[in-house]
Amino acid sequence: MLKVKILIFPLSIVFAIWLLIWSIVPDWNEIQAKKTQKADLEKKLSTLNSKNTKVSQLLNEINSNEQDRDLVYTFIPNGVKEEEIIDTLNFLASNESNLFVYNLSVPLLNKYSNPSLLKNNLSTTVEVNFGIVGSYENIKLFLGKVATLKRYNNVNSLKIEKEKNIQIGTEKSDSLNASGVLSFNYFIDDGSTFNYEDPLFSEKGMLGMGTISDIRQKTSTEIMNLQIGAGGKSNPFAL
Amino acid sequence: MANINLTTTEKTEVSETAISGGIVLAVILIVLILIVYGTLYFWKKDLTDKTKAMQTQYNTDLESFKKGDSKIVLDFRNRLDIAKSLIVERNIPVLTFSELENRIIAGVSINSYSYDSTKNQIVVTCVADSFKIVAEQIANFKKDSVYFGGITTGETKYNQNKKIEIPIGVEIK
Repeated sequence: MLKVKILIFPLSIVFAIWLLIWSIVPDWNEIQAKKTQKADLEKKLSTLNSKNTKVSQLLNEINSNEQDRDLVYTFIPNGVKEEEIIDTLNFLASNESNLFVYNLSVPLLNKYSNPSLLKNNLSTTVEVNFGIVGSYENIKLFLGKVATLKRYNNVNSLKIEKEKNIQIGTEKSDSLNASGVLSFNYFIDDGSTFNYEDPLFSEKGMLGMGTISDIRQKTSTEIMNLQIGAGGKSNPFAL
Repeated sequence: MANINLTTTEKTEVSETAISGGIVLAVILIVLILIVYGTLYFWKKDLTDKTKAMQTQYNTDLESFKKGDSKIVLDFRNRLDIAKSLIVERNIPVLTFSELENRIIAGVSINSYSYDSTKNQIVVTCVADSFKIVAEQIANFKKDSVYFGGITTGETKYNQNKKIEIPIGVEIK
């Protein structure tokens, strides 16, 4: 019994050391790591909150002027919007410039699949072929209106020559035939370009709203708001 | 003969007291260690729970941030960035029309006009009655201009109306 009593103290020391080495020290280290992790998370949450505040501020800036906002969305829209291109070009040529339109085609080919047509990662262009006949003054008027269209477009090529073969009722001797390719830009929204670390979300992030005044200065021709007629027919082949 | 004291009573009492003290110390030490261990255990558990909750909250908030208004804002800024570069590099050949009108001299008319953005050049096929007028026309194109740069000329030919045709290439500045 005495021997057992004598052994208790050294055994307890050994037990204490064992507990210290095998459990307390690792626990302590783990606690320190958890504390660091918690501090990191607190920092991340704080940063996220700051970014949320910044986003709210920027969104208010965007929505503060609806006309400016809509101008940007019109200038570079989502998707090709073929119907908008055809309707607007047709209106500008036929109604506004008194021209005969014999070709307005937006290719069905998906330009998005052709990397050579990508302007950058976020936008691409669709090429539109056009063909019109009319006087020099009217062609000039049409091209001037296209150049100031509120949707971005660019003249890739243009050919004007004295009219030869196209038969139209109101053909005059000074008629010219103009054909060419216009490229219209559109925005690609595939969601893969989101960057959480984008400087826009930082405290000093800016939208660059100055560009809007540049767009406004250089564009004035409205895009047509296409109205669709009544649909539904018992015989789709009948006119 | 020297006396030897073989009595051990006193020494045994001292040793038992020391042993008892040792046991007390050992118990105190073990209790202390267990308290430390227990404290650390609950502290770690508390930290783990809090960290896990924060991580979940962060993940949720980040996901809603990515799918929320930030996307609209970033999208808008990207459109503005694209617009900024596009509006500068826009080709507007119609601007060259008035310059062309000023450059064409009497006795010359344009038979065809073509513009190619990749070459940034227009080619006009001019028609004239004589080579003298053709030469004057070329010279007139070479005058200093805001829009027009280098001039190149192609092969002349008589057309079916017995007039001289010459293609003139004009670089757009």
